[in-house]
Amino acid sequence: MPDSLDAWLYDGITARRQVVRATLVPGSIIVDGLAPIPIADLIDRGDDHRVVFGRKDESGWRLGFDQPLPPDWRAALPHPSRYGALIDRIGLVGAVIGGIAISALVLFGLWIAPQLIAPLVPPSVERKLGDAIVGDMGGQACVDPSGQAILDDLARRLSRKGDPLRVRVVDIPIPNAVALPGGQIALFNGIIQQAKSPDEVAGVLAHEIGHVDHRHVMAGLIRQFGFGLVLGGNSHAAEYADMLLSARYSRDAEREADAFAIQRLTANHISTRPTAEFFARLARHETTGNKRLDSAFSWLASHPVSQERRDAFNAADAKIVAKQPAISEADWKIVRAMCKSHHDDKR
Amino acid sequence: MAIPAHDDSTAFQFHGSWREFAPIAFTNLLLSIVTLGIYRFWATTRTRNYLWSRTRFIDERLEWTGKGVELMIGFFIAIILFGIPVIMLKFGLQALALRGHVALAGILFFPLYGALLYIFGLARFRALRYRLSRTFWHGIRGGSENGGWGYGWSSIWKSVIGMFALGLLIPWSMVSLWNERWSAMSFGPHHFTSRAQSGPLMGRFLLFYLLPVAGCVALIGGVATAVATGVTATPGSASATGILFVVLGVIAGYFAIGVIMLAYYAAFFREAVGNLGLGGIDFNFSARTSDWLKLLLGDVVLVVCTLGIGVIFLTYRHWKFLITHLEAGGEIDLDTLTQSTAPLPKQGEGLLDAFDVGAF
Ligand SMILES: [Zn+2]
Repeated sequence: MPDSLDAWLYDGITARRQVVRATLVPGSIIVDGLAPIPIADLIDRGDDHRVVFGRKDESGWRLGFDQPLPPDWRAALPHPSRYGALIDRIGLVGAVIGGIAISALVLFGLWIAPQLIAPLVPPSVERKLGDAIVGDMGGQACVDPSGQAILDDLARRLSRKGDPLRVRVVDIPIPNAVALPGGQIALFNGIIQQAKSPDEVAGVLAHEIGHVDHRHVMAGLIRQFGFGLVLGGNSHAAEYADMLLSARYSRDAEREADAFAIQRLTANHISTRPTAEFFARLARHETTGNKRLDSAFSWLASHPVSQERRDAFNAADAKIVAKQPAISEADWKIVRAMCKSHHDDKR
Repeated sequence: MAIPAHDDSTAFQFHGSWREFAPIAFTNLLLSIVTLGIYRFWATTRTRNYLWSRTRFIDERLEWTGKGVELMIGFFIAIILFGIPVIMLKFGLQALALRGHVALAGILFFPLYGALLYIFGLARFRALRYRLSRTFWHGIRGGSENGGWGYGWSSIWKSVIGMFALGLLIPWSMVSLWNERWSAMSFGPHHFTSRAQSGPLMGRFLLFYLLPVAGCVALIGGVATAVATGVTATPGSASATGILFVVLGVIAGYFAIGVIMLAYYAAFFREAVGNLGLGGIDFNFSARTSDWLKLLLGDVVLVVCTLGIGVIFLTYRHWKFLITHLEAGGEIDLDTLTQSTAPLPKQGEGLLDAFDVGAF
């Protein structure tokens, strides 16, 4: 004699509630008046407060019981989902541990991968990307063939073979310099005007060339894209992770660019001490006299000058032999005047 | 089956308790963090499972049948649909402008912005459709035969018209979009009817225009008082009073804008829900401005006192608020309340689930 229980039924066709009798037989449940329903077709739609089953193939069909199920029914019928199918299977603790492990791997991959992928991007693609993002700097670049030739020559000496460089002076009176995608380096006129010697400009330029040489800009773009893709629109926790990782990442990038700059300056017999002094002056806000402008837009904003970085430049200076200025006094005058005509044009 | 009228039990009742909800909320938070946010689609689903199941309409509770994976797919579709215009707006136009093609960038701005508005309208419509299609009562669900494509266009031109005449047509645009959205929805065989009017909202809406005038009057009054006290007091204390007046004025201004917005939204919801019908049922929404104010101040206190953790209880609070103030009257014939024939959308509500409110 099979078990049978009082139950109620919504057939999913009308809203009328029917009072029925349900009988459990091996492999299926029989509701009077209906064909036997395979237990495999049932899903638990109940919770702590009530016992309800639905059907996988009929969305509105519900079979409910007003009393708790006997143990043999409970064992035979499907169990409710709690956290979602996968997590129910491995348990909450397992899911949390697994989640942390996978997330850590993903974040680690997002941090490491861009620096590995960036060198694989063909220079022509990066160049086009750079053009698309910055264009011709809105006509802010100072065009002066003689000054440009001097800068190009300096950049060539400071770079390694194969670095695709395009150095330009931009007519913005803020002490800053940036490496942009596609090997573009923008020296702001402010940094040239506030430098006390060409060696200081050479130091900053060499540092930026270091970013180009290490493909930091492309890696930064890829990293941003990757984080945007994986964590895009997600929780605040993800944003913090992004922030922390970028800070860590850029500190490493700065160290690499500094090391490159010191190495190239040394090879060209250019003193590294002026660069260290320049950092110190920037840090003391002795630049434009406008502290707010400086801290927001200057090279300092993206390049916090630590004692450690200054020490590295100072220490390297002792080992440089047969020092000579980065460019001659006459050439330096031409470079400093590069944006004069640009100014005059505008007036 | 008639809905008991003016009984002490209203047609909609909420039986949840925050003690019951807390384990759900905390495990949702934990799992969302360790999965870098991917779990949140399932978290939303679990939250709704709970909230719907504790919501009773007349004799039977509601049931949420949506799945986490549907929300996730909807989210990725929304990311692609929203992402393309947003990226083009952000980078493409910037690049064009930087390269000197300012005019071209300007010309392209409008269609791209329009596309964004269109997709936003579409997403809003589809969010409502998705929610109704996953909501069951007595084994019957809701939905819409309409895909919302036309609504997307309406949301563009009605939003644009709303901005005319110094924004005086904003109430009309909001009400008219609400009516259009809800009139396209159905539950079982019945279509919703939505006949809200913007006229009753205008009084409160005009307060927004009154505020600057009131602000100026208060400022002049404040200055006059300061000057008057300055005659008798020392100069130092006079300027201190002046600063105090300005600070208090700014705070009062913000508070006033907030209260006017609440007053307007309270009126909007009463008008919008109050003119909603389904078959033989009429809906009503009883929350007054003071109720909204209490809700929001409660939210702030909850979030601040728990150092932000309280955020995970906001959905619960808002749903409880919605259901406690939602009323219905009329009659339902259970035999003619038959299953909906509207198509079941396959994906969830995409980006709108991030905002959560506003999908109705
Ligand atoms: Zn750098």
